[in-house]
Amino acid sequence: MTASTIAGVEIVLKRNRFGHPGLETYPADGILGASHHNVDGSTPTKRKYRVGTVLKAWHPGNTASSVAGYTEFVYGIFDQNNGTKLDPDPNVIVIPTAIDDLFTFTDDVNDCASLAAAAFAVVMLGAIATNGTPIATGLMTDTYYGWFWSGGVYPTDFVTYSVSGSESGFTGTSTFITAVDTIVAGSSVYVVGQAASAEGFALSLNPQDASVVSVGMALAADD
Amino acid sequence: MTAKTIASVEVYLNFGRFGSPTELAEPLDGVTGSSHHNVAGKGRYRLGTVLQLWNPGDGTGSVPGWSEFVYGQWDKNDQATSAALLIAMPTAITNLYNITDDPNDCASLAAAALAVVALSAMTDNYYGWFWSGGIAPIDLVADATFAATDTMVSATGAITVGEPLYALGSGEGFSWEVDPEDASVTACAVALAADDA
Repeated sequence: MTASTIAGVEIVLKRNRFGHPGLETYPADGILGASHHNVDGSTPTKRKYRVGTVLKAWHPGNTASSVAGYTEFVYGIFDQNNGTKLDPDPNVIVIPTAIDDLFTFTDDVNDCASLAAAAFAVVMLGAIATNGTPIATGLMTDTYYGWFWSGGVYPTDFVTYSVSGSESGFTGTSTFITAVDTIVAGSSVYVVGQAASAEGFALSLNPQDASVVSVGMALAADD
Repeated sequence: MTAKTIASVEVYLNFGRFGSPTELAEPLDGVTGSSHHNVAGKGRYRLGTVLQLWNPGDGTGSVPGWSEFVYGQWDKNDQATSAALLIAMPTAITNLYNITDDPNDCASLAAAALAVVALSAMTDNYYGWFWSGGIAPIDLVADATFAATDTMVSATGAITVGEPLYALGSGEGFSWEVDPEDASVTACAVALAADDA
């Protein structure tokens, strides 16, 4: 079998992996607001939220195929390391760079905490410029601060922008790459390295190591 | 094989096992302050209160992140020892906040998913906080034996990174294991690193 895909709306991530949400007020300018998402947070005065802040928000399920329910985000730092995004879709799975730094996330499978951090995988929301237009491929700026989808339902209502041509932000048809095994409805899903590439991560029915903790549940089978 | 150890900062307890936190402010005298931790009587907080605090990661080997605590009552039962980093669990499924390190007087498998970790030595029947979720609260606990390099007893088999951890009786006290005592018992932690050889 070859690698396949699964729609984001068919995944529910485990909540509270980073702690209980301390914030339930949705930002006035949206989760991708330029005042706090994809910002240079190198000094305390530039950071709108403390790294590790967990935000829970009601996701109404208004857009096509969108799922109603609570969704959760964690505030962290994107570290590109040596990784390069393979796909212009912003739903890039990232994991902590080290177990002593759970809030710095990377898509570089060669510079991450590996299996230790697979249980703490999150999904990058992408990035838009201050004028509201998408940034190139939607990739966050290296070492910048922002929100990552960390729990609950796929936040399609909150991350809606066109990235490039036919690609778009979090829509009802946006997908994650899945590993060579087949994901079935109701099963736990795990984050693993992509089978066909040295770059990026994929979802899988089975963990890379026999007993690594899962990150969520599939609501449907993969494609 | 003999039992081994795993460092405090290498264990990440699952959040939310005792409910959502209702306390988000650090007590004025700290989480192990003598006004409310290891105290007699009814305690300063209601049993079962859940507290979540930010551990800044300032101390040697400490990891930044959220730590969660639950307020309980220590019951030593037949155990002679009491110390920081002892793994403990409820004495009965009808009393989830009465905490013991005695494998012979606990709720056994039913409570293994609710294992917590002592922050300090506790007096029998006294009330106090127990580490119940997130990373080891190294910066928040005053006890000198609750450091990043201080350890808990671990499995007779090898723990590898990313594995779920289960609390099991080990004769005297409990240990972290990679396999549950019964196939369907729920894990209560994640290993952030392998245990010590």
